[in-house]
Amino acid sequence: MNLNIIGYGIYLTLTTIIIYHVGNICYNNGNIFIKHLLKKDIALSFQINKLLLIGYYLLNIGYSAITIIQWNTINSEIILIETITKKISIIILTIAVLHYSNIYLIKKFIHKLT
Amino acid sequence: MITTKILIGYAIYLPIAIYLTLYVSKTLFKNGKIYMLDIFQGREDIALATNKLFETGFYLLNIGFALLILELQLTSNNYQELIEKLTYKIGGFSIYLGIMLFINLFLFFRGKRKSSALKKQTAHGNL
Repeated sequence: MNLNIIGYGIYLTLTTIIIYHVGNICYNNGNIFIKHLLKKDIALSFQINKLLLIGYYLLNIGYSAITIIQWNTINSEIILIETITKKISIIILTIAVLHYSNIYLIKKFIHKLT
Repeated sequence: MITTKILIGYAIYLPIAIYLTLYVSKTLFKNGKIYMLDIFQGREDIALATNKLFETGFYLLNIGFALLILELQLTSNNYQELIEKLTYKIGGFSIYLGIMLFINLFLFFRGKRKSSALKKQTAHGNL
């Protein structure tokens, strides 16, 4: 009997929670930026922001779920802790890299909009 | 047993690492709000929003790194090696946190410098 299923459960729960919260923080602050920086088509931008949030959920939760296929067999609790932390850290670091590159791209292209 | 020592090591490392990132991040971005308010010249909600975004990025980066370096290998069954490897890992993570803190401080200062240069430019342009 191996502990893979417990690992899958913990990993999926934690990843979904993290993706949901980071997504909502970026969505809410994005709305604040839209209100301040765009002068026309504000309502349309709010809807686009909401759609982007839903797309972000789907992509990220889907990607973090797909990587389950590559897990090795987990036989003891120590390997369980190590595998879960390694997989979660890969997801968190990917989200961090995308987050900072979003900030950079927005800073670069915001002048073309206003 | 080696496995119980490794478990003790993980149980010590994880809370310390997560507590350190939470503490550094809260301090940095609590005081960073004042910088942001200054850079954005009183537009409070944009300042808070930028602060929150940088804080989220900081959390993600540091917690991701703390979890990445968690793995501990023990070759001999004594506490000495556990303490040595554990303190090496926690020390290395603290140094990394300090470097991240300084990079973020540098970004704050650079933003302040650019905004005051912009302010001086528009003031001269109005004269």
